[in-house]
Amino acid sequence: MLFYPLSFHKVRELLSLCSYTQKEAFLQVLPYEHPQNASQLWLLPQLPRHEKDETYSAAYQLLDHTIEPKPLIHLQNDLKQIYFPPPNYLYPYNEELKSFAQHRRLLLDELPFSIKEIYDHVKNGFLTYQHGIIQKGKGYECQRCGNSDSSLLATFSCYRCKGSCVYCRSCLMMGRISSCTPLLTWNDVENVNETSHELGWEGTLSPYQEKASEKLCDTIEDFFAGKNTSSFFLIWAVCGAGKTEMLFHGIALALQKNLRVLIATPRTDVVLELEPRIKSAFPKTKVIALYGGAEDRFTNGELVISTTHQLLRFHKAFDLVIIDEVDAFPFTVDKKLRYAVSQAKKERSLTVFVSATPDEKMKWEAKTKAILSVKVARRYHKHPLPVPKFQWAGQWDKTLQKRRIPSTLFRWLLQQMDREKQVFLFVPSVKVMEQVVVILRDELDSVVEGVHAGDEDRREKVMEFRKGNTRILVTTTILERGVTVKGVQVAVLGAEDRIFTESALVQIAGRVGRSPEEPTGDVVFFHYGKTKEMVQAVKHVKMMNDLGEREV
Amino acid sequence: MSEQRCLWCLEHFAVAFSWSWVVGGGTGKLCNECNSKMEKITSVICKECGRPNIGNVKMTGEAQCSDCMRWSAIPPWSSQPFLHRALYIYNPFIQEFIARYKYRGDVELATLFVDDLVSLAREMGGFDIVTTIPLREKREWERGFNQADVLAGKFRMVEPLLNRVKNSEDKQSKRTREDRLAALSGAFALREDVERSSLVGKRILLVDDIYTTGATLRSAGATLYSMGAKSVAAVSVARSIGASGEK
Repeated sequence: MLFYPLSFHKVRELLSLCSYTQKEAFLQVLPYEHPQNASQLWLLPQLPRHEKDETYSAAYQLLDHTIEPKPLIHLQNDLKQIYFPPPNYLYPYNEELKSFAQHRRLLLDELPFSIKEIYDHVKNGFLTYQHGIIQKGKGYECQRCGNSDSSLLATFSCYRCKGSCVYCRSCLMMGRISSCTPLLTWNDVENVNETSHELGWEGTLSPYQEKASEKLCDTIEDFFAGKNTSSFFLIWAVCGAGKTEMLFHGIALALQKNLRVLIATPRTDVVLELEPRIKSAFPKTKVIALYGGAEDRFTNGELVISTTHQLLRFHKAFDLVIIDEVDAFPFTVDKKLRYAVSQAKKERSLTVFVSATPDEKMKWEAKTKAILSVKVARRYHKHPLPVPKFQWAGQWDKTLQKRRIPSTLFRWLLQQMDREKQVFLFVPSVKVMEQVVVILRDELDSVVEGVHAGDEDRREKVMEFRKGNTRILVTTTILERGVTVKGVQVAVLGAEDRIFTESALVQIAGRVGRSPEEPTGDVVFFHYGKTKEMVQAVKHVKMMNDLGEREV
Repeated sequence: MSEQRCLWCLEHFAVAFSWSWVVGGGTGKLCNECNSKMEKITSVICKECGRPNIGNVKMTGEAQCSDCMRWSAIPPWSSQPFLHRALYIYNPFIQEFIARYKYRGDVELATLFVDDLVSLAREMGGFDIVTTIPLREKREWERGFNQADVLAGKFRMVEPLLNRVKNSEDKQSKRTREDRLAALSGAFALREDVERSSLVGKRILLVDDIYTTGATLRSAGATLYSMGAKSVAAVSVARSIGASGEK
């Protein structure tokens, strides 16, 4: 798109040049209220030809002859002082447009309204915009996803700005953002919401959950009462602690204070799992769930559950941000998603991290009280975590090549089959997974299945395992989180592999003993040499168990 | 060895530095996994439309497929030649590839094809003018670019010759073959700024992204023949291999 940069000195000059009819038309495209500071710039978009209508053409003809329109990116330096008028409350704004753009930053193409209507909202102060892409040093930076990697920014000859336009390939799938396009935001004070919120959940919390829940509520009280405490809060809760329930009272409290709440998680599966639970816990609250492919991507909710990716469209929207599984791939890996959270929250907001395996940095910050934190060392059924055992498996890769399963592992598997238990067998790679599945199918009568991240039938295979039809599921690390199957036993083959970090191993061990009916079980790391990560993982589990013991 | 980002999956991969990488256009831009999903057309069973040799299409003996036979009953194809070649078979992978290029606007993806289209055209003979299938202005503004123009980016002497005339508002991809053929007869006209006489006796090459029924290219071709073109040929990135139009 092209824009006419107009200072209000220039406006006066232009008006003096106008004929009477031109003047009429020209005044219509200017903001309803002029700035005090006449040097401030006002950007007038050049509407695409098929959108042009009669009233506009006279003004645009005059502009075309006086000022050269430029693409947005070339106006970067001038734009530091771009002028947007305050909202004009006499203007009957479009409610639907508001529901799209409020708390979001959207492209023109994401707003199903005519450019003229969008522009009318701009000049009446209800919409503002910023650059989609900015120049940064020698390169560029995407303002939606924060990408500045030159190998993920490309240039094309743009029909809209008739020039060479840079676009971001990193967040392309959310709609192409290019250097001539604005990112639009609703600009109005928020209506204070009169809906009453209520917690419809009537379950009880374990004493461990209770403690974390209370601390969360206290932190929310303090923070939003304006106390100058840290704006980060870590809930370090073991696998199976029942963390969703711990959050209910805190969320209810925040909603009653008319705060906007976000629950963000890296994984779509988790959003889908949380949605019905949260909806039934908050029956009077408008809850929306956002993930790739979700239907209602542009409605507003008081409580939003979102994948971190979908957050990229939000802007200064949330007071309370809860990030579930903060350490889970790809949140800690992907800078883009970190950026998304930082953009989606309001300037003064409280961020709550929930994790069973926080990273070293976060643990350190919690220990030194740089951030507030609480530990939940026991599962909701009050039993300790099963402690992983080590078992030597020799050069297991060579054994596999001879089409045999390491004998220690094989004996353990037979035992589990005799006890009619189901087994998760974790392996370091897809290749190993395939080898093991072939051999086990030969050697055992039980149903064996293999699954990996790129597997198209992943959901069905996991479903078959949940139903109990598959007895042994050989898997890469994709199932380390979230999948809960009653009475399952866990083994890791090749636990010394680099892929099995302390947190991965703790998560894997956390699959066992989840249900109150079967709170114990086997976790065995079959290895060819103990690693520091394996030892740390066991230490981690024992430390949590000891802490839980002391708190009883 | 050096590291490069795959044009499609955006993952890093190691590339062995070799001459084919320097010379060949497409190779080296995709990682091995993505590259293995592309099916290059290596032999054709219809000398006219370049239908690739795959599946069980009845051969008619004159090395012309049944689609092209039917076309040759309709003027101008009863007296004028048509030639089309494509780089790849339109399989699900390239369908997704072109969809991201065209509808998501990932213009960079075209770099995989621009050089190969030029070499493909060179194998087909010499041309005086290269032109592309135009878009309606509204659509071009929506997309921000014309996918065919970008694909023709490495040709010399590219000239815009055509305009869309008929009201073909709906997207083509949502139509049946019959609808397309009907909608496209007379869909193109010569641009106002092109001299009619400038096409007389010229060998013209059309560039487009996908060849499905050939209706778009033939419709453009018919317009060019009516302006006195000597020959009209076409290249595209992908050739659909759907049942040969028989319903």
